[in-house]
Amino acid sequence: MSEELENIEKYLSGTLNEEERKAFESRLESDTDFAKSVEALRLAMEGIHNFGLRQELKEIGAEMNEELLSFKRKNPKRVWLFIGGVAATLTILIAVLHYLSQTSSTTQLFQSYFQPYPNLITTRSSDQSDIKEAFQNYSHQNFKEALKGFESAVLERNRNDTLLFYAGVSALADGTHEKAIDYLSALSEIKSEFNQQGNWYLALAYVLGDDIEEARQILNRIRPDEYEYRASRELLELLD
Amino acid sequence: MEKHFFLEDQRIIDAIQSGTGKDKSAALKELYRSYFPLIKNFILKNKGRIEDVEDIYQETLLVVYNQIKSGKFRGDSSLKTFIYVIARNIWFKELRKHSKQIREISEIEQEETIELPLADLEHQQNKIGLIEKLIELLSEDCKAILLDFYYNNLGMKDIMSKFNLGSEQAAKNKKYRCLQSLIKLVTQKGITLDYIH
Repeated sequence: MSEELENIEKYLSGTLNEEERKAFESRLESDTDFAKSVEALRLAMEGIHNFGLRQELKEIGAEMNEELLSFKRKNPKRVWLFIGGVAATLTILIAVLHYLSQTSSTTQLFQSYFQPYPNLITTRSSDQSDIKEAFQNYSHQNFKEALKGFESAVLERNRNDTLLFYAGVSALADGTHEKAIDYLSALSEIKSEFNQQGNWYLALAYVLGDDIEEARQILNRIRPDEYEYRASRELLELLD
Repeated sequence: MEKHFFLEDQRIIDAIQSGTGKDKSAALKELYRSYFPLIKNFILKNKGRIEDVEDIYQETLLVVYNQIKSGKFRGDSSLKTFIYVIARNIWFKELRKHSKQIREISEIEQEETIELPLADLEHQQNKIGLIEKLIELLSEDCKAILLDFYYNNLGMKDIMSKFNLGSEQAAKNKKYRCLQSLIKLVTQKGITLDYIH
């Protein structure tokens, strides 16, 4: 059987001599079963070829994606660089170089993904002045002061979800991840319009605290239609 | 990529038709990178999503590569045009499968410039696609050996040492057993039956 296969293979690759080829072809015409095995082998060989080719194409595609992704990773702040202009570019570059030379890899990761959540809360004149002040500090990026304000407000107002959220983000911006984890986990236990955002920042808090396992669990729970899904996938990959 | 592309085309064609394994891989990579943006834009402009792009493009290059290799691409057009036409055909076929907006598509279709024996090609592709699925059913060893022999063009000596087989004859036997089991699967599925005239 193996000999017959070998013979068919030689025929298909055109390496039979004239005499052998003629004998082969006359058998091909008279013997239907034989013709079927020839065709089966031809198809099998072509299938193997395509299988290999497809694998190679996939590898090239994956390689290109990898290059693209690493380009994005190196430039996570691209948009802001445009907005901020040349001065900001220089500042950030210097800051990044500074971080690269000083900080651990998880801190670097945190720095490339963390952006303080915008202040979306318009305070009314009827609001108490301590809250107003806290939000003002937050908008001016005085996160230490903002955190103090939100902390006392949280205690007074029985764990209001908005205050918990901004307290958590302020703590994170201030670099105190333990507090951020406290506030944001508390937020995750109550129903709030800030739940999705809260989870993203909670994951970042764990990244900053170097608790990769916990961070990964939270990131894994972020669904495609939720806040920062894309970034969460990227971050997950980087944490591996 | 701006260049004298018919000349460049010839270089790629030569590499695919008569180059070493390395040349072929390099040519494939060059093809892939050169025309990816073109096809990506085309698919995205024609109701495609970014997730569709890679699959369609890889399917396109599979056909293109085989057409070049077998000498069926005769250089009547540039490779760029050829790839574009194949990609359109594959993508519109895919769209037709999923979309009811056939009228709109056939409007786009009228721009078609090059005729290809696609019905025949498609038939072949489908059948070979089935065989590729059967290859997945083989043992990892068999898959690797068959690929090394028929795709990577390794000799029996290389296969013998790579897979720790005692002798060249043992490697040969192993390869034939693997091929046998694939052919058995192929005939079991009756894939060849409709092909014999």
